[in-house]
Amino acid sequence: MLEVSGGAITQLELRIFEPPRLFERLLEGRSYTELLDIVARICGICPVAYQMSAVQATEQCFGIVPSDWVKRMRRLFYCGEWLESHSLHVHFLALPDVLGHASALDMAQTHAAVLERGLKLQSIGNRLIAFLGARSVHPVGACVGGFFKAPGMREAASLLSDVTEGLSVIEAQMRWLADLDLPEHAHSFTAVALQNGYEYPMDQGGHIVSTDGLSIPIESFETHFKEHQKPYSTALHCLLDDAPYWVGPLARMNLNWQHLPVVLLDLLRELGVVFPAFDMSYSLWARMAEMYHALLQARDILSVYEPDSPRIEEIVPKAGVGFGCTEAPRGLLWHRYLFDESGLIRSASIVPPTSQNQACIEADLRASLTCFGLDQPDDALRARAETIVRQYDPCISCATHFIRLSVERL
Amino acid sequence: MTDSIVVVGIGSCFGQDWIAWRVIELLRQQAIPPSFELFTCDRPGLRLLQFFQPDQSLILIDAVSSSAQLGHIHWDIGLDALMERAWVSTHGFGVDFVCLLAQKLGKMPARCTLHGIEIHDATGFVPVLPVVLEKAAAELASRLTCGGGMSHLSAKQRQQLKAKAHQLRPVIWIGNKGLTEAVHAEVDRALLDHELIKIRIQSEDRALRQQMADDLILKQSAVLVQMVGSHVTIFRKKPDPV
Repeated sequence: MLEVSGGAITQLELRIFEPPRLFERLLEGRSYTELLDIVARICGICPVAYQMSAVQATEQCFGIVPSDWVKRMRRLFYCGEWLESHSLHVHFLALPDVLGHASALDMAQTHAAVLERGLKLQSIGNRLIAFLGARSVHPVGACVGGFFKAPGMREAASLLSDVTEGLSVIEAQMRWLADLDLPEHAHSFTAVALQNGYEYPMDQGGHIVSTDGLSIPIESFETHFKEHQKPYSTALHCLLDDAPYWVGPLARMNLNWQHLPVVLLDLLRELGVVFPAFDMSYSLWARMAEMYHALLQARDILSVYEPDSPRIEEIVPKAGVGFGCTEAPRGLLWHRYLFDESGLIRSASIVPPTSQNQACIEADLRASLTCFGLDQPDDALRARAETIVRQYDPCISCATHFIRLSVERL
Repeated sequence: MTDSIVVVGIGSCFGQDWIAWRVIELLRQQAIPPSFELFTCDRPGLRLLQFFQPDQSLILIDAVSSSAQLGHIHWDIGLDALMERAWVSTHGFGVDFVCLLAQKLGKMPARCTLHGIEIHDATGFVPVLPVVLEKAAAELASRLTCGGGMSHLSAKQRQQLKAKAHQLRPVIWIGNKGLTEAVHAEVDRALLDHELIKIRIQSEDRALRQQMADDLILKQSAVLVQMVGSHVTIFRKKPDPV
């Protein structure tokens, strides 16, 4: 909803109309053994991220240290999700905007090969998730302590062949993208991501840092970050010390690009892509680079893959609080659970990336639509607003093509 | 081409949007041919493309939300009519998007048919379907196993029939009285005689025309070849001579 008076925006509300999900309350009284299956249902695009933040929190509380094999497989699992989610966003949401198409259907007329390559990358991501999760949507293979099953060598070899092909595909996509002129979309909001000082962050913890100098352990999240209800939206707004901030691939990249593998840094340099970048259009590049990074890691893990004991057999619950925080495709995903001595969840708190970006999206819409020209026709304003929202890749319902914009010109 | 026929029920847990899952459930309870492979998908988005194999027969079932009556069966919707229906999608990448994308990328299976059931509510939780929807699900399941579902047209066949239909003139005009028993009897006779017929439905209301066309093909076990304005072309193979 946009209200314009005297040539200026007097009110702007991003109303999320999806019904409330109530997952945190739904988890209360449930056992830790059910946790991963339930949180996987929060998102059809990034169920792995929900499972991995939840498993991290549970294992922290119970004092469980997973084996190196499990850690590697969790990384592989997560790589699949970055690949699948990023490919969807890049090829079906962002690129049609960049190329001036109404949707990917129109883009298919002129850039079928680009979409084919995107679908290939997405299918590799889905295969990686299914490799460990038994299926790519709402996977069921992960558990506290590891995975229910170690995949066989033949499956790993077949997947490795796909992943190796994927590296050529993503490089071709990046070289193609380098020839495009991306629209300018300057951006100066505070970026927040995980940082661990030794590798590009994904599934294995670190500190929460910001471009304004914040650096806190994940356990201190609630001291600085506060969620607020907005009467017009079913999505909570999360603020960092009372101010909007943003999370996601570009935020992650701006804070961690130094930890990318050398081969990827060299490719980016060759293509003239420089991070940090304070232009939201560059989130496209951040996703491309992260897909390349995910494929490299997947190749390294799969090329030495051997089945091993997939999990810790005996889990002894402990009463207490556990925290988990990983970098979901769309950004920081923070979980906190209170368990009792039998492993039942007494309270749950889940802060997804989309809610963290809500306030920032509104602030960006306010600035960008003013810059675009509030006297533009409603349809043009709607199209511009949709493009801006899509760049943040919020939970996909909001990222796709159905913003209903009501403009009141007073 | 493989002999298997993949049937996919698409939906979500919201409201009545799980109607297609119910159809699959009913099919599973029936003695279906072994060549049938049944799947349910929860908001698959682009993942639906995994079922689009070039040598496959594919039947897709989904919920539709248009101005038709609750439980109306949108039978065998051709690709050209696809975007006219409001397919229920929570994520923007609905069955219409995926089918059209598959077509543009040359990934359409050799045979692909699409059926919908009209729902009126895709929000909240509806653990038990209204009787009218339960009946519609049973009817669609029954129709799919009684030969109608198997007699769908390949893209090439449809194209050939369209070309043939181009020279046809309407043999039946449906007026204000709509689909009376007499009309159905006349359509049945015309199909027996000609296999491929053109019908004119005289109504300004496009949704009503669509509904009548759906009812016609459902009742006559025919397949829709095309619908252009008020002209509907349908096909039903003549029974083999005994």
